[in-house]
Amino acid sequence: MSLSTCRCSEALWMRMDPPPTSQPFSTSAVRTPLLAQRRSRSSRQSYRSYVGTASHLGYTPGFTKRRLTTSRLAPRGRTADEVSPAQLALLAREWQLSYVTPLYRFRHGQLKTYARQLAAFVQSEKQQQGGGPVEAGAGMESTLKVSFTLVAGMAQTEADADTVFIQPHKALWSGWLACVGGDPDYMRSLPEDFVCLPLFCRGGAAWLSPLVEAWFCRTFDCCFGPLEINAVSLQWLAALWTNCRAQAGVQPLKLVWSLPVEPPLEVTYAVHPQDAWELWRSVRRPLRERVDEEEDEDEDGSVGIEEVEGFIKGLQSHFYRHFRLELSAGQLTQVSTALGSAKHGGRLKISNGSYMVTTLTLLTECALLKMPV
Amino acid sequence: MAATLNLSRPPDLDSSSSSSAAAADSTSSDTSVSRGLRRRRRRPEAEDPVVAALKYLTEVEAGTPAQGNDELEKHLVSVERVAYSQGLSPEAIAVMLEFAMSLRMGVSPCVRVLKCLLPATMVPHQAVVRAVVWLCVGKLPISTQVLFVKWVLTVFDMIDAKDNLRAIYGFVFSFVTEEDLCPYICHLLYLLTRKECVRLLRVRKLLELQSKLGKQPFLVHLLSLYKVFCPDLVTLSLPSRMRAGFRNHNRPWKSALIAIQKGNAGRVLSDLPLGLGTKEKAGSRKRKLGHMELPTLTPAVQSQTQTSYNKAVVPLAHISSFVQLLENLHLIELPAQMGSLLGSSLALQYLDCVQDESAFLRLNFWLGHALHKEFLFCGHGGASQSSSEEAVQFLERLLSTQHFLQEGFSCTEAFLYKFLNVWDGSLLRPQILGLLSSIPVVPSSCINRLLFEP
Repeated sequence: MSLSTCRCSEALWMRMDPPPTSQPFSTSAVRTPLLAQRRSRSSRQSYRSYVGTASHLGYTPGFTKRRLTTSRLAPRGRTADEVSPAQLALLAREWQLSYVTPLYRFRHGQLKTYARQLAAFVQSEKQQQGGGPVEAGAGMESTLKVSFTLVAGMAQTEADADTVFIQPHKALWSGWLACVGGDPDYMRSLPEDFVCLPLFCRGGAAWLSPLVEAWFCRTFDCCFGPLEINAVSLQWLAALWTNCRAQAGVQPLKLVWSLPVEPPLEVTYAVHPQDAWELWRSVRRPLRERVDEEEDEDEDGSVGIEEVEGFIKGLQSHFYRHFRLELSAGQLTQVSTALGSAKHGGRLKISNGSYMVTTLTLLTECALLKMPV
Repeated sequence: MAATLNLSRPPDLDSSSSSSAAAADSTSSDTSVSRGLRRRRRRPEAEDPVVAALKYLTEVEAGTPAQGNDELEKHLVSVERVAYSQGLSPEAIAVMLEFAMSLRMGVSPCVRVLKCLLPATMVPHQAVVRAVVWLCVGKLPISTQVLFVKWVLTVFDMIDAKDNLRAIYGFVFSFVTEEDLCPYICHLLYLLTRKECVRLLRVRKLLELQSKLGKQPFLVHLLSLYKVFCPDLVTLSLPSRMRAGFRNHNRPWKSALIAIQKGNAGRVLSDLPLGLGTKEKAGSRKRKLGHMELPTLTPAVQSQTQTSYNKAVVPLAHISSFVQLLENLHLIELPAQMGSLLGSSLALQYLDCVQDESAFLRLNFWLGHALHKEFLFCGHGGASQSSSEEAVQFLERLLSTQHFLQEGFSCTEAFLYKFLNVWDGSLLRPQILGLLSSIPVVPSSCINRLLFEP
């Protein structure tokens, strides 16, 4: 048996005569050799093609402008009682965000095994690195225990996988993998062996994060990458958090812009929560009046991108009137309200259980946008 | 376990046979090897001094005096020179280790050879196992034994497969009673231990030692690892706060190894046997662009489906030649990380036969992630000097892979469509144009829209 492949010449394939336009694409696909066909079976449409143009090969160029969700559900804020104890662990801590490619053969039923393996791996890696840093508090554990727990109640669609929370005992680090409200079409397109948990949040001692990521890469053949929150998402968060009037009315809405001057200028714009709410309501009402068949109350229903843009424009024009500084020339880098704070570099803090699901849905979408295939 | 992995190996080491029988076995095969080599001496002498040195060291008779032996001196010097500049090849390591541990010319060359045993890429596991056999014979002085174990600890990560070493776990464990060897043997056992190695007898032995030597840190570490695997066998309470673990014992080789690895870091790996990974552990220097490093070829961590069929599965990491690949084609198990397949042409040939869609998807994810992270997601195009060399190498490897397979990957296609929108036309031009030639044929209207529009 010889596997010698035929080395065809280096001619660019593009220079081949294109098939005449009258010929449908399907027949030319039949003519491709079996080998190519087999592999192109695995070629999947990129995530963007699900949301972009309808072409069969639709790789939409340009990924900056969000053409995706133009309206999000903003449910009525839940009271603190409705947040389960497991979800409480996700609150009131600053997390660093990353995106993760889908995990291969990750089973939610084997969490105990994974916990043991991770503990052994971390220990052996630390040994090989010659002891690692000796921390003031924890020191070098002889038996490092790790626990993987499921955080129930976060899955929004049936395609969502359950959130997994990772916590080593006695080490000041924790992390969690989540998929909240992910695009069901994309999830369904993945073969069954894959579990899609694209959002990874970690916080705590910095030396443990690379070890945990390395173990995941080795065990489930996935890749990690940093997830930034772009300006549009920050604007969404500002609007959504302001929308939740009851909880957000405790602290001012703080926005930080960075302006590209020499030296770079950072503008912190703090708005009294009542004023923010008034502005938001005024932006919403004219648009709401146009849609008369909405029977939802004021706080409920969906929020559209036009309302968000209107809200931000209102804030910017107010600033301009007083200070003659056009904030839209710069970039929004940080948003914080009583419900939480988010920074452009990928840092997130959720202070309140209300709107946690909506926030995470937005971030899951950001993470899914970064999927390479 | 040793039986299934016995694909092509020198004399079997049945773990139940006594050590002397194993030693006799190896010496007899040794003479047959050297006899074979002597017959071929008619061939003209090789130009390479290292080859000549290796030949000499293989053929020299036992008992030849080492003192004042100019020929020996000459050969050792040439080997040392190569070792310190670029490291020794695996075959050289095997020959040198055999020569040293068999004490054919006394103890002094042994120490000298051990000190210069610096591997360039990897250490063949058969050589290490044979050396342990010689250790069992018991003729080496204690200091040399200590030196040998320290050497094994230093190059542990470069040993290509650890399964045979694990198979002789019991033999290694038996050295734990030697007081001078104990700390190093404990460290080696720590690295080798798997769940099935933890036995009550061994735990008892360690506890006995602990009562004799006191609560030595190396003993406590090994016991704590045993406890992680089998908490019911180790019932004593171990201190929860401990200082940093085993000490590094690699001082004689450390600086030389780092220098060699730095020198070899620029070279692209090609056609090396599978199952080897060059760990670029240059001290604490962090590679910023680790996403373009090929992962090491390790067996899959979770192999679930085969156990119910009682079929022996061969991990791809254990295949080292094309013949083996053909023999075991139906039994091969894919590695843990698909990205590691790009490092070896043998693995790529197997990839040609793979039908599994998940496997391709994994590979596409990893490849797509690396391409995106390097070229698309970084701040301003990532054309800094330090990254461009690695980027060029990575793209070259991708090009050669696609050329070998005569087909492009779908993630490359997706990446190119996005990248061309932001490409300035001159960054890595030959590589990008090369990648363009692998895009599958699409109708001309699509091509126009996707590629030709600015």
